[in-house]
Amino acid sequence: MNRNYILLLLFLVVSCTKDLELSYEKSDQTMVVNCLFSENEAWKVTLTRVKSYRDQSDTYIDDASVLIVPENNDTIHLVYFKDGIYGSDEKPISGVQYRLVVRDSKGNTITAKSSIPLEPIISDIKPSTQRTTYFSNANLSDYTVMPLSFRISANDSANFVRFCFFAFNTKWGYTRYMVTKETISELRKLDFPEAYLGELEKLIGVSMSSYVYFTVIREISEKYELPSNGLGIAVSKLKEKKVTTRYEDSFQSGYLFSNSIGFNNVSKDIWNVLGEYSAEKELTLFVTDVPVLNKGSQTNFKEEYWLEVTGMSEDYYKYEKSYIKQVNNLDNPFASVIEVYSNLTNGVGIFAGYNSQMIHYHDY
Amino acid sequence: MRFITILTLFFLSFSTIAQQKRTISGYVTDAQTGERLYAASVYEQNSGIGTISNRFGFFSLTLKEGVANLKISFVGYQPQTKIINLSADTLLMFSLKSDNKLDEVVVKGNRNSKLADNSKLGHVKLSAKELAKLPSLMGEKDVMKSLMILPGVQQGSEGSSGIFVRGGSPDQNLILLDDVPLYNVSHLFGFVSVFTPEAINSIDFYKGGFPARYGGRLSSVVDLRMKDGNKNKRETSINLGLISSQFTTEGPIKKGESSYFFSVRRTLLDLIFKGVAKVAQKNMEEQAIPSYGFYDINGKINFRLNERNHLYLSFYSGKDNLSFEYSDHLKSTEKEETQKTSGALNWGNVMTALKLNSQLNSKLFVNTTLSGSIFNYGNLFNGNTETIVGSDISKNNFSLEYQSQIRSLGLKTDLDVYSKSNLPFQIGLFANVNNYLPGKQKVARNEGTDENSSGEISSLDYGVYLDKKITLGDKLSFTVGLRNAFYSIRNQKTYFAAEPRFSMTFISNENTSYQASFAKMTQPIHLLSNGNVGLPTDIWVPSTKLIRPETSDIFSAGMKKAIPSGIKLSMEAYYKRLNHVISFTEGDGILNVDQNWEQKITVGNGRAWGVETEARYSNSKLESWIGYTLAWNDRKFDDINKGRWFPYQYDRRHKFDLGIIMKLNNDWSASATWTYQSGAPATYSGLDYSGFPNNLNNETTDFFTGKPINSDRIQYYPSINGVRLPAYHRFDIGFTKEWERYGKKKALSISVYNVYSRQNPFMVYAKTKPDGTIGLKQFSLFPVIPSISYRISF
Repeated sequence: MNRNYILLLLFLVVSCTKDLELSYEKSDQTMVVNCLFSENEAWKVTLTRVKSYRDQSDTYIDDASVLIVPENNDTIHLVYFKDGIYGSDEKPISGVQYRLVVRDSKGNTITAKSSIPLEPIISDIKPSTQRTTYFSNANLSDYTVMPLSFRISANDSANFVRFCFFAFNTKWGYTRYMVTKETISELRKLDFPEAYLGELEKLIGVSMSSYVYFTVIREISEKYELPSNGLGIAVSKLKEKKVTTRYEDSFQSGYLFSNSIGFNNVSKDIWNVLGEYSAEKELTLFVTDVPVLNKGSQTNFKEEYWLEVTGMSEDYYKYEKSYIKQVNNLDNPFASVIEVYSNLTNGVGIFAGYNSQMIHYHDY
Repeated sequence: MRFITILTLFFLSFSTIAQQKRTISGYVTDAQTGERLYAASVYEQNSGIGTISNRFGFFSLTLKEGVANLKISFVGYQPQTKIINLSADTLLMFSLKSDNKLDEVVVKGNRNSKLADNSKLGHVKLSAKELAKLPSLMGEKDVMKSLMILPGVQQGSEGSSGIFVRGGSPDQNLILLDDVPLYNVSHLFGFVSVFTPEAINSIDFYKGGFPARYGGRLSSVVDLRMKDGNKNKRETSINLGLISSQFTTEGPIKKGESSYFFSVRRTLLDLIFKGVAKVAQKNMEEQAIPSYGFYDINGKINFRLNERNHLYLSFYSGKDNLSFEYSDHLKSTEKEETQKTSGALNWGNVMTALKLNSQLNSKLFVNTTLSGSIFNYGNLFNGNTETIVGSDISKNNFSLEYQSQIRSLGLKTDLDVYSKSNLPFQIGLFANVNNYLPGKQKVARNEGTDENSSGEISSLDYGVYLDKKITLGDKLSFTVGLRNAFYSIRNQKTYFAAEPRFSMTFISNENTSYQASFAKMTQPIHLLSNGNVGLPTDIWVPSTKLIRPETSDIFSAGMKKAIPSGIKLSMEAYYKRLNHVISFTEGDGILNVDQNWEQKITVGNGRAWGVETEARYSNSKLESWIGYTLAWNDRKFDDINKGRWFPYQYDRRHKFDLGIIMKLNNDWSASATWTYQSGAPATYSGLDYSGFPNNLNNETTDFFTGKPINSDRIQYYPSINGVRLPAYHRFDIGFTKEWERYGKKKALSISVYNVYSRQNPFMVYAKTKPDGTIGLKQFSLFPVIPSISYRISF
């Protein structure tokens, strides 16, 4: 008898499971408002309703009145575009307090207030390529990292910030990929299933980075029985296009850690460092060494190191922190329920201002 | 100094009073064992004046000079009468003989209706004899589980020995063993408590109307007294059960004067687990050896120094140890790899107490206790891998060590002062030095060692209390008390707590009484729980500069009525207000041990209210009871449920308890209990909405399905604890045969736990059904479990 039988026997003796039918809430009409605004983008508010897990897609609200009321200025009326999105050509201005007023056709009113904080100033950046080991107490794991020191300004009595680390590979980053009609016809000749080709057809004309495209194609390919080396063949049939712009999806996200007081990874997260501070601070972050490993000794391209610094309103900070906690605790059956923060009265979601800057601080 | 002067004058005033009357003082003891009897009645039958022996069997009764017709009685013992001519202060010793009748399981005050007012609201007294009659779980009687059949007391999750009293949490129970507080009192993750029933002499349980001598917790007091040991005869017993076995021995050191008691209980599970696993995996490359063990050692010695002074030294040590060892050996043409992993989780209490009982005069009894205790929780994980490739040997080592600890040293003096009205006055002083280590973690691996610690926090608690009973005529009496305590956290802050206590009793006739009480309680220590299931990994933390002590205000009122047919009825309503209760902020836990643990805590309030009723019937062969509780229990934290009130985790609306104990014949007795609790609240939702995942972790997988979690969606909970789980109910029966042969006492206990195999929810989790919808699945422990145990005493 091996140990599995013993454990199974023990399990059967002392435990049992059964399905439950409880009258928990399976439907809800609570309105969801999603709007993170910055000076770089025009107003865009998405309205949906809370949905059941069973529903495949969101219920969009297309008949609401959406107003943005700036302090000391004229009200902005947002117009409906599609998929629950309401927008305007006007852009928010930093430092101005905005009030959102949403009224749906059922007479429900949702309000929220926020503003774009002043941008934090990062100075005295001192990157290091000296590798060191960072021990994550939350994950009980070691990571090989490189330190990054800098100073951050304080604009207010309470400042909130998020840091993320990205690498941009100059060899792959300037190449875009897309599915074309030729891709489909060539794969058809190679006896690829029609259902598979149907899914690929939906991507025709969509330009993506290699990282994203290969992931998307792989996920689709795994669902079908393809000819031998089907994934490799499908990828080879994508159309390549060289560009000179660094597209957002061409940046590769890396692990980022902090052991400075007030600046931490939330829960078991290893991608974001969130900070709350009241005076100018000098801090050290630790970035993953994966880009260095990618490059190795090759000299025909660069790995650019970028630090994304997001100045957050307090509401955005609370939302982000609770969101990270929720996602990172869903794998823990004993964890208490985590509610994601919302600053909306009579609804859920977020209406909050932020600013964002990408700092190119080092090339490897 | 001023206080001592006042105290001296106070005692002198009693000496003056005493000259006008005569005082009989002394002790009531068990004739067979010499153990002193607590709450025995000493009653002068002509005048109707009586008193009750204190926790050390001492009594003091002041009567007019002349003939006194005394009756001394105690439940389960044959009453004794004595006529004396009282012309001077007299010291008397009474030894009561045990009777063979069925004892009441729960005794409130005394059967003598004229002393019914001594039965306080919310106070229950339980003796070891009564405990032994209840059904058991896998052959184990349990002190804490015996309290769960009382109205107003709930159990937590299935099997757990943590009790929830009138809306309080398990940390709000002051659990004292010989006056020393113990912390985690659970074995086997709560299925058995640390108290060996055979080592316990009596249990005093308070859920309201707290005497002022108790403090430091908000919701209840469980005051256990260890057996002193038989002063007359040596006795040894061996008990064999499925979960544990025990050896107990007691006897006189000097006959009639001094005695010892020693008991050791140990589980056999670790030997069974290890043995079975080793045999099953013999000659296998991959081996996994689990083990779980616990033990309890109780010891006590007592010395009669002289007629008026007695010394007690008690000791307890108990520990749980959960461990596993895993090893695997892989060999291929390229490499050879050996993995060895081991882990251990252990927790336990050690305590010792030295008590000096002194009868200073016929009206003044003093008990001084010097005590020390340590609660320790720790875990250790080791993982070693050795890989051999050709001639290269690489070793990868990892170890994780975690420790949490509380060390306490205490000194207290309790004085019982008796006046001419025979209404005792209690006063006391106390001081405790506590050292808390909420958490210290050390991680070692090839790359180096990292240590994180919450830091050690020291505190000094000290104060004074007094309790005084006042009567207004024959029908109305009051007990007023005050406990003043200082909680001084070293280098941080000192909190002062004034805790008034008040209770009132109105006896409308000899069978009916009405009572009301109020108590303010303060708790300078908090328990931080990691999740929804009570685990030893929950840690105790002290109040600090940022975290204030928790407080509660408890109001209760009720009535008791004895019906001539032998039925006793009681009804009690209560309202409890809790302030400054703490919780981890959502999603935070102790796994990140650091200096900033206080930042992860949210502070809130609680409220609980309800009505408890009980009917109890007993005669010489039968004891039965029925109890019903209707209760509400809410919490409110700024950071949880959008700052709105929500039902507490153990808010259960209804609770029924039915029980019967019968003496079938001279040898056999039977017992049966049925308990019902309406479903506990829980938070589940089949709802979500889209969020801004930004740079969120996309590697998290669902614990149960193993599937990746879609971080684009936010789980939406319309309300916290808005769902009710299925009700908990269970029926247990037990049969005990006790007989004596060749001078050896034997007892055979057969019991069946959860007779109709009810699947009670232990944990509920969401799971995706084959059709893609989300369903809830319930995980249950313990179907029907028969058990047997055997005890022999000689």
